Amino acid sequence: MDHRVLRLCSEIPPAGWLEVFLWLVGRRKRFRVVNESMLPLLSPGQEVLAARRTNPEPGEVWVLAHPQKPDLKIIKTVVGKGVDGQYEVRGLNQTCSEDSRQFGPARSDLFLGRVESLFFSPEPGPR
Amino acid sequence: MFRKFIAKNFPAEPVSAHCDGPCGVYDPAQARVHAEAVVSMTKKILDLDPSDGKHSTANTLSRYIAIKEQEAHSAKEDLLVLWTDYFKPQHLEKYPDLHTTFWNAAKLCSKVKVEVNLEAAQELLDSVKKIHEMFWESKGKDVPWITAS
Repeated sequence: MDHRVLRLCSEIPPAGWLEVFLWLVGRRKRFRVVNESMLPLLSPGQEVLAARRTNPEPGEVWVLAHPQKPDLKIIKTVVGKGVDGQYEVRGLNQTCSEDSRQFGPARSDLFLGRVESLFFSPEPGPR
Repeated sequence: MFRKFIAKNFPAEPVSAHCDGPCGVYDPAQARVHAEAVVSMTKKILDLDPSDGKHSTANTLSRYIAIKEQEAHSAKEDLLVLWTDYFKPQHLEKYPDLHTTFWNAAKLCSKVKVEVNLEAAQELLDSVKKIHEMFWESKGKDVPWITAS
């Protein structure tokens, strides 16, 4: 993973009142992280708010449908953009992540929302 | 406080960071080494002449048999882990004989364990080679089949 991606992924801002308001009016969707492949950025139990967007960019964290298990939603970092509308995604904890290294690039229509903010952490404060 | 109340009482939809534990590290090379060892030990057993009546020959034969059985069992364990943990239902679409291949390979592990059967041992190694090819193709990698012996 290059340094740019690491820098962009270094922090997800805590949700301010505007983010909470956007969630209340349906412009954000809440997701609860399970498993550990996005450590140290996201821990199991943390909740994020994601916004419906298009055109994922490298360095952004996205919620997407698993390319081979459509019912499973996963949270990954975009690390590369192909010429054919497909994207390479990775978990940050690469020794413990199933991502494009296993299932290949993900089509753009699988991307459900870009992570905008951290809604809730089981422990005090964001990591 | 508000968010804690929301998170506790209205759980958000889970999104998997997806650790396909234990860390998704699989490699048919483990089964290949054990299957090769079975072939090797079977040849060594067949090369021995137990009719010479020597204790040393009996001791060597006993050791060869023990190693062959252990290696056959290890090959079976490694194949079963690949079959049940790595391969997923979607792989069946591309490899419709996946279940048959693994089932026959596991049966061969039992056969080479209880018999001194060089033909079956070679057949087991051939099955592991086929699994090696399916495995690496499913991961989109071209990994050559290289044996240690």
